Amino acid sequence: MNRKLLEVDEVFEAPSCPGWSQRGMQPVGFPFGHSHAALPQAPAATARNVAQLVAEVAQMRAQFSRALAEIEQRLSRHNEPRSPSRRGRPNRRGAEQRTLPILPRELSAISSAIEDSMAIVNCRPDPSDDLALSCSQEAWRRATKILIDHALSVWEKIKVVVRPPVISPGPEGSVDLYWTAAPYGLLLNVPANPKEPATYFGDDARNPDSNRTSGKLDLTKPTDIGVLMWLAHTAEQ
Amino acid sequence: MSKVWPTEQIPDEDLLFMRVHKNEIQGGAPIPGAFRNRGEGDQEGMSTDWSRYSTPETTKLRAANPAWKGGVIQMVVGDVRKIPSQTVAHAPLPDNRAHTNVKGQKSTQARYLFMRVWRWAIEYKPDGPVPSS
Repeated sequence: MNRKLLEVDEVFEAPSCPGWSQRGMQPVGFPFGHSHAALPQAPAATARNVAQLVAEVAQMRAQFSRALAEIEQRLSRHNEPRSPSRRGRPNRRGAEQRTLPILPRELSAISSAIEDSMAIVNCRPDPSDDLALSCSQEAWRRATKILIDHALSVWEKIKVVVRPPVISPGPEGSVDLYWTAAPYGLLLNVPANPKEPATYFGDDARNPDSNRTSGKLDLTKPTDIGVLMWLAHTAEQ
Repeated sequence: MSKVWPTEQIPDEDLLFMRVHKNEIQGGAPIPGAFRNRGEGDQEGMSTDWSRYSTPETTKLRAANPAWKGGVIQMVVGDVRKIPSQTVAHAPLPDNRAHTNVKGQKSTQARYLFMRVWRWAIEYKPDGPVPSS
């Protein structure tokens, strides 16, 4: 390797490179060693050649971008924790899933619940259910963001893993996040209208009249202290 | 000519039966969205059947769509009345004397509390309903 480098150094020209005079254009900063020994034998570059080269480079860049995206996708699949229950199921990941942030390994149950809940988005009407519930992708996205923000916040602040909720369609296109871990429970409803705040209610079944929580989420804040505290109650022990 | 049934007062200790479609069951339990109002005007409410004039089996068979699949839950009338802003109103139909509406807004709090009071009368399993013991 060193020997080869020495050979290159032997033909070092520059920065006052005489070979550039044969090209009809002046170099702009090319301080490294190179040789123009073969240049006189090469055919002169034409505008047509340059255009062809530009097209080829563009094609190569596109191919490279596609390959890179494929590799990144494979890597993200490989890194995501998988629950055994999903084995054999069809891969339902789409653009929505790829836009979700990567959660710590400890919150893999939350990731799985979110992934599984994608089935509730714009679900096809069931002919046996005239009054089927459904929700929009936008409402689902907001609901899962609220879930992620709160689960991450509880994890980062007190290193407690929040249980995965039941994520299901609610009335009028809304999305419900429902936690139950006896004796505690919490229902958080994210309305279809993004201008309306999410509402929540939870209680302690042993003492429901005096130990309960309820409220509305502030649209300008990612997390709500009331929800955070209640989720810590329902967390994995 | 269809029969007109009298509207009666429902005692707190009686039960209400309600069908829950299989798509509204997750992890062996109804989802909170199953507790919602249907219908309009005077008939708006959560449709149930009063146990005095119905059984879980007849409630299940009343599904309008023959392809309907799901389970039947039961709730104690007194427990339902304790849920804020919920009222239990007997609303007999010509072909269903048991028909009862649970009226009132199904807020997040109300739906959460419904999740506390339901029990299976006929549990739904993916390979078929299982009668409760």
